[in-house]
Amino acid sequence: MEIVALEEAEVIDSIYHENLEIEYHKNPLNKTSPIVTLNLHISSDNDDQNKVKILLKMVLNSLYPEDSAMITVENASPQSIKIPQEELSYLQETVDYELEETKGEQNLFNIIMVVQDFVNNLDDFLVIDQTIGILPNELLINIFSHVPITRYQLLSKVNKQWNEIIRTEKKLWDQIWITNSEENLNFLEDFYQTSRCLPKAKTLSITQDEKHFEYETKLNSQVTNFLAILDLLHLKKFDFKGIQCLAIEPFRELSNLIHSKQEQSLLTSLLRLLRSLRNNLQIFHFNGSFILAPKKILQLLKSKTLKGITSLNLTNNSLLHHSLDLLSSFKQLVTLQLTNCNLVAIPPNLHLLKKLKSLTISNNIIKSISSSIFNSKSLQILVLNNNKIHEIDFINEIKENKSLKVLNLKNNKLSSLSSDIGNLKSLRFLDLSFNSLVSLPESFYNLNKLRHLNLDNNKIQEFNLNKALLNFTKLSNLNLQFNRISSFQFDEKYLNNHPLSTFLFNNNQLSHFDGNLLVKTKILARNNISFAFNNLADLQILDSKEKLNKTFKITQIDNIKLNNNRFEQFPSFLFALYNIKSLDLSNNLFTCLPRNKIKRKMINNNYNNTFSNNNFQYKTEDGHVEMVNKNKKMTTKSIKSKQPIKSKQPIKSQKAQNLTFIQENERKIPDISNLSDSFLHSINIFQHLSSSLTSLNLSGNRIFSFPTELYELKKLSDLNLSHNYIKELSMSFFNFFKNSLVSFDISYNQFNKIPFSNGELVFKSKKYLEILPNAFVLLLKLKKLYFHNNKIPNHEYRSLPLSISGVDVL
Amino acid sequence: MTELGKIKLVSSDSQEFEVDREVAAMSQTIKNLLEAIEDENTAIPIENVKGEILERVIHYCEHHYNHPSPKNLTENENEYERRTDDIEPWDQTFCNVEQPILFELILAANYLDIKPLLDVCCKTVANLIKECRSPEEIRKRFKIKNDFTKEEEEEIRKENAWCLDEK
Repeated sequence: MEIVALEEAEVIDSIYHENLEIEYHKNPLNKTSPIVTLNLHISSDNDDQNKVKILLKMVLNSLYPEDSAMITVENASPQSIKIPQEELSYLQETVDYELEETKGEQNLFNIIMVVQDFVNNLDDFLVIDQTIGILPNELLINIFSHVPITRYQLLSKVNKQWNEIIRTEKKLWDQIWITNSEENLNFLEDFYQTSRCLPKAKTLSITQDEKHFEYETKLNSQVTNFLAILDLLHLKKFDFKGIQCLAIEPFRELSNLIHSKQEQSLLTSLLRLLRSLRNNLQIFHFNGSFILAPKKILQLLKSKTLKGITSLNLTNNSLLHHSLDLLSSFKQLVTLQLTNCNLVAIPPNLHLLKKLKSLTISNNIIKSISSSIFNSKSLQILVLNNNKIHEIDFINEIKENKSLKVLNLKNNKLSSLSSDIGNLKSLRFLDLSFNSLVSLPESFYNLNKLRHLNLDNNKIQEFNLNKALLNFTKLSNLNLQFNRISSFQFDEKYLNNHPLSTFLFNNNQLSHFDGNLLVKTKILARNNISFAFNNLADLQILDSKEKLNKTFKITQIDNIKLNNNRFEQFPSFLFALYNIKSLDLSNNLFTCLPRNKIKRKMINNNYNNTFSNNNFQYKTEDGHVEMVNKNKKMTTKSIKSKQPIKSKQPIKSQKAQNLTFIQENERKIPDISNLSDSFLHSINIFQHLSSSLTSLNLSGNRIFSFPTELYELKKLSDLNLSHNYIKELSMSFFNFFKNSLVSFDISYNQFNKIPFSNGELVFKSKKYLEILPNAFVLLLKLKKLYFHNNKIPNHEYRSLPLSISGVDVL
Repeated sequence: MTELGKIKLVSSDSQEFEVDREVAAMSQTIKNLLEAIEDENTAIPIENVKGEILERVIHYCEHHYNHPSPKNLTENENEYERRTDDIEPWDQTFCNVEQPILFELILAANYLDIKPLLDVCCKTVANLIKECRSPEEIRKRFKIKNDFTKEEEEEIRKENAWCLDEK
């Protein structure tokens, strides 16, 4: 087949079709046979299209075996094509048939017609199941409902389906959502001109734009824009009869820019707008951003249109005392939100509003609340977080309240709770976090409908878990972190099938923890567990094989924190969590795992085991004896066979000094009921964690030498051993973590020299022996090395800056 | 036999998934099915969803079961706002997939009736649409065929005066 410059070839004939372009050129090199080029406009990179391409090529080549058939496939149509196999073979048959029929005549055009027919019908095989086209209208409507109304003009021009939806779907036009930007101003003008698209909107929302707004350049025009929108809305006499919800959120920066004249015209515009809504308004949200003075808001609230509203949100407005009185005259109110309004007290007489269900007065400066609000028979949600409440004034005692379900008193100054709180019988959600509570009244445990209880950051010393579990049978979230609790006592029988699934107890003073709480509830199914900042020395969880079996199935925990406790040995419970990714053991009392003969043996074996395929020459850290490992084929199995105790046998002695390996392929649950020797635990634990753990923090312990047990952790990338007493690192360390360790913190230890500096280290690479400046260069993935605050003389540091790029030595 | 508290789901291409009963019940459809089925060990066929998609849906449910949304009961949802900038980071990553997968996720979420998943996927698509500045851009991005004839396009222009001005 020859390659011919096509532009030189004269076109004899050509066929054009939507998808197919066939040109029939004179061949300048060979006068008798023409060149055919075929441009197939379908998208490329698809097996099936390649089939078509190859087939066409094949067809043409079989027609003119000596000629060049050039086929280019252009990426013109966006749809992907899937041509069923039968269709392809049908095409082949037809072509074969045509070839047979026209034998001798070599009628190219017969064949081309067949192929063209085929290509014409490609539309049938356009697969649209991968595009937005698969979505039924109802789902497109859902998507469109998240697109600002101002973009609907674009959407209606995309295709017929979209056009139809935008024009006819009333739901989409339910809300007019206008942000105060220029784009929207234009839209509004256009929008008004088209009478037939005028929606019967129920919601009118004028709010600030999210992000697209360029603050510096347009800020000034914002004030005018905002006013202009308001003006436009009533000047053009839109039909607002149907509007039930009016939400206005002026641009936050307006408050700084607006001057008194604009303030007045803003108020006038707002009042006029309200008037034009003709008393259908149900919901009025005016997040005022402090642009109107309190007196002006009072005027606004007096508008007749607002008389019947059910929902009022006055976030970010300063309210006058007079306007507070006014609030209780909105008799139909169901929800009232007064966040950030500089209130010093709950507005009076709100409990007289018979329909009020939700009251939010967050972020104010309320100091004390009267109990009268608790005597409302309708109120279900009361949110008073971020105030300065130090007492609940119980002039009138709280009668039994069966309506209040949610009470949020987060971040106040409460130091005690009256026993009346027990009368709030229906409470499901109670947030008392960030207060100064020291104790809880006995009646507290009567709140038997509680599902969420948050007592985070108080000064509570005692929490009766037994009573809580017994009474709060539906409690699923319990947060007690940052308190002063020293123990939890509970009866196991209350645990079975208790729905408790989140239980936070870190940063207390626990010295003992009964793991049954975790095992028998749903807590262990959560991803994170923190025991951090307690006084725990041991975690007894796995005292029976049955429980172990149960916990072993829990594979979801990927992060566990045991930092800042008093652990001296690894809690056996870690054994169960072999999917864990991050383990924080910092600031405990871990010492180096005991050094003895067996351990030495283990290191050597372990070393052979892991590095048998390398060819290092090195000096061991203890004997400075040169040893060359030539044992390339040593397998794990052969090492295991050297072990004195076979792994299948359970360890009987309490202080088993011998070493056992659990064979990889037999990772059934071992009987560890007798294991208490921390050394053994740790080995087993790390073997279990070997394929999951990526982050380990052992800082602030009492470790004197690098724990060789870590050589099990194949995936460890982040290791923190800072604030220990380590003096040296062995070659094994560098070899084992060569391809995994990314961040290594060994600061605040006892190193008096940089490991293997002074050319002590001889590294045999593929070609020649190299003397490396220090061993850290061997850690190929290392990005961060923390080596400061050791006992290294200054001049030694010169050898530390690593020759590999990308490593930060910190 | 399935483990206690677990159920088995079978995708349209016969892949099997073992899921916590409660996680699966985040799908209203499955929840209703579970209430109807008495035998705990029956595998539930999810006929309209491929294994690849079902796996993602399960991943979503498991994550959100374990990390309940921080939006607590006390926050009033401003339903009138068409926000699309409030997608949680985890969800953003979750939705950062090829379009075909995203659309199949939407279909699956709709079929399985998992409202938060449906919402978050629809918002993601809405965000993609919002990034486009012309109908052509939308067509190109979503591989939509322009099926208007020239006459029809002209008609739309006349009909929707407000559409004309793209200032």
